[in-house]
Amino acid sequence: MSRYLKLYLHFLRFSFSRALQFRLDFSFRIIMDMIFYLVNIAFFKIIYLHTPMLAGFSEEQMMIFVASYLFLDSLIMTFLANNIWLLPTYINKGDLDYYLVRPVSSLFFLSLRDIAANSVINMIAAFSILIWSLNSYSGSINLTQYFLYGLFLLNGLGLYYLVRMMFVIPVFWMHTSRGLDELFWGIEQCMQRPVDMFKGSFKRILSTVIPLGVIVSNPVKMLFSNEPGPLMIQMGLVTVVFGFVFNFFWKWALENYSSASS
Amino acid sequence: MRLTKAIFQMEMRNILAYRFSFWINFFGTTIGQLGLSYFLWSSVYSASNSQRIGGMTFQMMILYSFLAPMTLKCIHGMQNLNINQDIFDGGLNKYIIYPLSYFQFKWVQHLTHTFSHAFQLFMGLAFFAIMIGMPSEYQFGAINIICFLINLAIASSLFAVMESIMEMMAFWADNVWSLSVLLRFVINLLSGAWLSLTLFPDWAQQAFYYLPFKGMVYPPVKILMGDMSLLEWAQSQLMMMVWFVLISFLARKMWQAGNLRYTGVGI
Repeated sequence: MSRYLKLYLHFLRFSFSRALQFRLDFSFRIIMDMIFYLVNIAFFKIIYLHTPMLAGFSEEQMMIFVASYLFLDSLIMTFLANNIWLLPTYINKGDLDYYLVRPVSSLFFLSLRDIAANSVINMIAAFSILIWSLNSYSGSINLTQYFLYGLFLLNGLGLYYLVRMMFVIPVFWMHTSRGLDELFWGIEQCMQRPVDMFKGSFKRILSTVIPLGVIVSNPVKMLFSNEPGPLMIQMGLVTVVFGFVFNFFWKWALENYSSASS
Repeated sequence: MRLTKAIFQMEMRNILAYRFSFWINFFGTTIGQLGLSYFLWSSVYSASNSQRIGGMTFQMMILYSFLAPMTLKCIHGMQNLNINQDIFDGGLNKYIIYPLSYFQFKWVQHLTHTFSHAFQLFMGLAFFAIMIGMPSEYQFGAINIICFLINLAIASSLFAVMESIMEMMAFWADNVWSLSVLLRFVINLLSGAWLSLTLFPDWAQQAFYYLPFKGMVYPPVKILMGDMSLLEWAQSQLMMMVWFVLISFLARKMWQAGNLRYTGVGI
């Protein structure tokens, strides 16, 4: 465990020194993410000009939902996005070999090696938006609710990783991530909306088979609910099942990996 | 003209080489978009107790929200023109010996992707008609389709020239993809791709009139729905063309200045 921690600290150091070499890019990325935050907040602000409630959320609650999504997105962009983005290239070019032969978990190395140091500032900005939205909320939230919210938002980060990787693993057979990436970005928009907005089988699919709907919605609902039990069980169960499914597919994919020719 | 045709055919072959991706992308986008717009607007209409929001009935709003992101996808064409990559790895060199202009090549490539996405859009429209049914106010006409296609060509070209400016920043900076993404975020909101422009406050709607983004998504979708007058549509096209000329001029200046810095080797 301490070996992995030491390794991760090295990843952090390398990523920061690399990011600071390109100062102009550093600022471009900060501006990009700020615009992204503004656009997302503006979207819901405009919708609430025409309705008092959406999916059972008042405007104040929706701002907490949006801020939670933005904070989670900043975590994804900082710690996971670059690594997942590069994985299909490693698979197709045979570069995966270098990761498979190292004396550490290949998945650990592939998933966490590159940290987007320039997104750290955005993570702070997104966290500030989250604090602002929580402060603006006129209702009361107790400490237990805050704790569960934080814990399950982190659980959401893990679940997002599992779902995203399930859209990358087929590259081992398909040799291109183009269609699957676009499909994922299309479906990922469902994570940006409260899951209760959806109805029927669409909602069921988003809560189980492609559980993007619960990643942000469930932790946020825990903030406003006095009975968070069912939400916690649902999210925990989905994560465990997805963890097993992902593990199975990852091992199967590696068995089918044929180096540079794949 | 022969060169343009050759580039078009080559790019179409590239697109169709990954047929599975093409179809999975089509079904994923269509069903996902339809679900998102249907559930979002059914929540809004039921909570607000209104028959019309932003001047549109529920059915028209769903159709708009379904078509707008697909139209945006057409305009985004090939997403990235890869000018930054050519600058970064010295790929511009090969265009010195090619018997065609670099920008003509990129522009035709881009429009070919616009064409392929437009094909998906019309298939999506047919899917919508079968699954949901067209709203009673929807007016289908050949003139609307022609205007829509003209609008797509202009908007797609305007996007390409804006994108080229972002990517040409690679003459001065090493990694500029975030600028392209930034441009897309702004277009998403200000072109009406995420929300109909009639939903914005009045002051914002007035400001949009002078911006280059307004003509990109809102007018083509509205004209395709038969919900905009030809005069209003023509005005939006004129404004886009003015912007196209201005931004092209800026792009040309950047290209000239950037070329002086280009070293011709992988940086």
